[in-house]
Amino acid sequence: MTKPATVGSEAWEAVLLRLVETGAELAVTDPDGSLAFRAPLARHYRVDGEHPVLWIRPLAEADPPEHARGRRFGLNSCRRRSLPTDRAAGDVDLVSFELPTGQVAEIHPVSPGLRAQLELWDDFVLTVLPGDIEVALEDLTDDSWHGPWA
Amino acid sequence: MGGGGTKTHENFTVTPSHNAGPSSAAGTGIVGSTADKEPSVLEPAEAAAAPVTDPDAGLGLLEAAAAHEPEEEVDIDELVKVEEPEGPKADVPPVEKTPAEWDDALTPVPETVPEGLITGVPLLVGGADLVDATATLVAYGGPGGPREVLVATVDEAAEAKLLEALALSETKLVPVAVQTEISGRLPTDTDHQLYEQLVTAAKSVNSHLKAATPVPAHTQATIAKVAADLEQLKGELPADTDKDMVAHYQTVVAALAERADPAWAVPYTEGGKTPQVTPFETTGMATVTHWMPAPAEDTPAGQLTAAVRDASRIRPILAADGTASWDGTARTKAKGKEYLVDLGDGYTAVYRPYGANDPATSEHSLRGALEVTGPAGGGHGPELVSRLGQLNLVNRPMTSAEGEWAYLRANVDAQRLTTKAAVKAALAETDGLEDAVEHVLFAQRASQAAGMTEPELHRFARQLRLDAEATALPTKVTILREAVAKATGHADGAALAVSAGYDPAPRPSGGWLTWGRFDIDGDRAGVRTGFGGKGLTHRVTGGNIVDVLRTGVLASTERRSLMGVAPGKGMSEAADKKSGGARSVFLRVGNTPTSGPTLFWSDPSVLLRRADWYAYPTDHFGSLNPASGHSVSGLTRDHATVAKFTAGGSNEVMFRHGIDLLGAEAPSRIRCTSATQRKEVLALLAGKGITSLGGRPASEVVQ
Repeated sequence: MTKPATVGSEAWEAVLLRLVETGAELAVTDPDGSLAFRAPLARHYRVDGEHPVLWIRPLAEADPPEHARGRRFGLNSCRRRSLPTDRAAGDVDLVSFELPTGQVAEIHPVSPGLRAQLELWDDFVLTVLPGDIEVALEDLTDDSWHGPWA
Repeated sequence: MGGGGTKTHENFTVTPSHNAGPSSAAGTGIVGSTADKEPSVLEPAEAAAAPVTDPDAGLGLLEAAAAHEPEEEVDIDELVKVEEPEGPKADVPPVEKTPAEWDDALTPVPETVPEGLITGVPLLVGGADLVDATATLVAYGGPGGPREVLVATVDEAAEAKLLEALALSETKLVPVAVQTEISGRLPTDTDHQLYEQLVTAAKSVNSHLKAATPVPAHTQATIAKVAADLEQLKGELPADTDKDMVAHYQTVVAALAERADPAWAVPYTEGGKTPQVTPFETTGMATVTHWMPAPAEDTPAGQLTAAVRDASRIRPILAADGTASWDGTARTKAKGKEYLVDLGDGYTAVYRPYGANDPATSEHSLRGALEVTGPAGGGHGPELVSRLGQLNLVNRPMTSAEGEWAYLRANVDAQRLTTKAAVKAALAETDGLEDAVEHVLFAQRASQAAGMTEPELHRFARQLRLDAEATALPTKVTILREAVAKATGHADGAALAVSAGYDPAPRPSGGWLTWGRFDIDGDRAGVRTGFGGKGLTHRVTGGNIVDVLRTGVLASTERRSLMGVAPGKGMSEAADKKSGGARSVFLRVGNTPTSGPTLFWSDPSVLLRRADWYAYPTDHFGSLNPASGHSVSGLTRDHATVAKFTAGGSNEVMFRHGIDLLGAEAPSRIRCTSATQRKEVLALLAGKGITSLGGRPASEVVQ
C-alpha cells in the first residue's frame, strides 16, 4: 500500500472531487493488508460541517435486468456510509483515511471491473429515479429507505 | 461542479464525465464485506455440547462432576432419578404434538395466526437448534384461505442433524424440462439501439435541467432523430408488439422533447425531471432444461425426499391496508442454493444450508434460513412446530426453565460476563453436566437399543440427548444464576432473582421477541441520565413515514422481505445482506431532531434495555476474511460507552430484527416533514385506535 504524502485538508477535498467526477471506488484494507471492503462510489458526497466526517455512498451490485424491471438498485442496499476526516490525506489520484479500527480506507479511480457497475448506477439515477429521490440521495442524510425505491 | 455553497455542511454532486451509453453488462464488482458477522446474541444453549463419542470421557466427566465441589454440589444420580420409559424399544417415532406437554410453554403456540398480520406471531422454541430459539408464525392471506408458514434460522451447529433427515442424491442428476417466464427486448429495438439512444438523450437532458443550463444542440438532434426513426418504424412494422414498442418509446421522446424546450420551467424535483426511461420488454413462456437430483424412489426409508434448487424467498404482497398475502407459490430469486423438502400431508420445508452457500457469494442472512409451509387454510400453528421434528429439530415450545437459561445467556453476552472467572467456570460446569446426565440415562436405557436399526439408533441417541438437556436444565440455571449474581455484585442467585430489573420473560416487539438486560432494567434512570439529554435517532428517507407507521415497525431488510414491504428487490447483493447486517436496523446517538421525517427516542433506555443491541462509535467496514479478527473491532455493548458517542456523528447502534414503533418501544418524537404529513400520521394512528405513544398523547409525540 502506498503511503501518500500528507497535504492540507482543502487539497484532499479537491482530489476527491476530481476522483468522483471521473469515477471512484472505495477500498478498505485491514492492518495486515487484506481487503475488507470494496465498492464503486455514487457521484455525490458530503463533508459534514459539524463533525469530522465525510459521507459517501458505496454501491451494491445491480440486479440482473430480467429480475429488476428497470429498478436495478435498491437504495437500502446503497445506504450512506462515513469516513473520519481527522486523518485524511490526499495524493494525485488517491485520498486515504486512517480509521479508528486500524484499517485504512482509500478512494481512488474506479477499476475497470467496477466501472460497469458505476455506469449502471448513473443510468439508474439519471433515467429511472424520480427527481425528488435523486436529490434526497445527494443529501446523504438517510438511515433507511422506504417506499418503492427501497 | 455540483451544488455546494456555504452552509453548515457542503454537498457535492458531479455528473459523469464520460458520455457512454448504458452498459449491457451487469455489475461484476466485489461488493464489500461478506463475513462481517453480527456478534452472537441470544444463545440460549451455547453449552450444547457435541455428542460424546468416547464413553470413557463421559465416565470421566461423571467422576469429575462428582469430584467437583461447587458451592452447590450437583448429585447426578438424584438429578437423573427417573423411571425407565416403558413401551416398545425398537421404533422411536418422531415426536408429535402433545398439547399437555406444552402447558409449560413460555410462549404459547397459537392454533390460528391472525391472517395477513405482516409481522407474524413470534414464539420461542425449546433447545438450541434455532438461532435465538425463535420461530415466527405468519399467516398470509390468499386464495383458498390463509397460508401459514413457520420461519426461523437454524443454528449452524444443528445443520448436520437436519441434513441427516434428507435424502439427497448429489451424484445422480436428471434433466427436467421447466416452463419459465422470460422477458427481453424486441429485435427491432436492439437493432436500432432505440433504448440506448433514448437513455443517452435522457441523461443529457436531466443533467442540464438539474444544472439549469440549456440542453445542447447534439442532444436535441438525437431526440429528433429517434422521433423520426420511430415514426418510420410505426409505418413499417406489422406486428402489434412492435407497434406497442414504438408507442412506448414515443412517449419517452415526447417527454424529452418538451423538457429540451428552453421554455420548460417545471422544477426538477416536482416533475421537471424526465420520467423513467425503461426498455420495452416482452414476456413469454419458454421451456428450459434444469438438472435436478434423482427422483423420490431412491429415498431411503426414514428419510425425507428433497431436491436442490436455486435459493429463493417467499414473495408476499402488501395491501394498502397493511396486510400481507401470498398465493403459496410466488417467490423471488436469491443467490445461493436451497433444499425443497416434502414433509408429507401437504407440508413442505425450504432450507438454505450453511454448507452449500458460500458466504462469499451467497446472502449471509439467508444461510440457515428455514421455512415450513402448511397446506392452504388456517389452524396449523402447532402442527407447523411439530413438523420441525421431521427435520430432527427440537419441535416444542420453550419451557420456563429454558427461558430463564436463555435470559441468563443473553445477559452474559450483553454484559460481557464471560470475562468473569466465575461465569466462565459455571458455563464449563454446565457443559459437562449435560454430558454426565446423558451417560447416566444411557446406562439406564441401553437395553432398549438392542435390535434397533441404524435410523432407530440415531433417533434413540437424539432423544437421549434431548432428555439429558431437559433433565440437567434446572440445575444449569441455578449454577449460572449464582455465578452471574456474584459477577454483578449480588449476594447470590436468589438475591439476583428478586432484584429490580431481573425478568426472565421474553418481551414481544413487533413480530419478534426480545430479552431484557437486568443491568439496564434495574437502573433506567441512571442510564437516561448518563446520556445527558442525547437520545437515539433514525432518519426515514424515500417514502412517507405514514407507510412505515402503517406497518407498526421499523424492520430490518430481511424482516421487510418477509413482510412484503421490500418490493422487487430479491437479488440485490449488498454488503449488508452478505454480512448479516440485513437482520438489524440501526439508530444513531443524536439530539432532538429539527427536521423530518425522523424518529427519536429521548430516553435511550427504552431500547437499550433489550439484550440484542450492539454499537460502533464510527462506521464500520467489516472484513471479507472471517479469520482476520477485525470484523468486530470497535464493537461495544456498554451503555456508558454509547452515551459518550458524539451526537450527530457517524455512530451506529444496531437492533436485531427491528423496533416496534407503536408499543412499548415507541419513539418519544415523530418529526414530520410538514403539517400535512403530521395530519396524515395522526389520522393513521387514530384509525388504529392509538391515542398515545409511550404513555404520552399522540398529538404531543407527532410533531
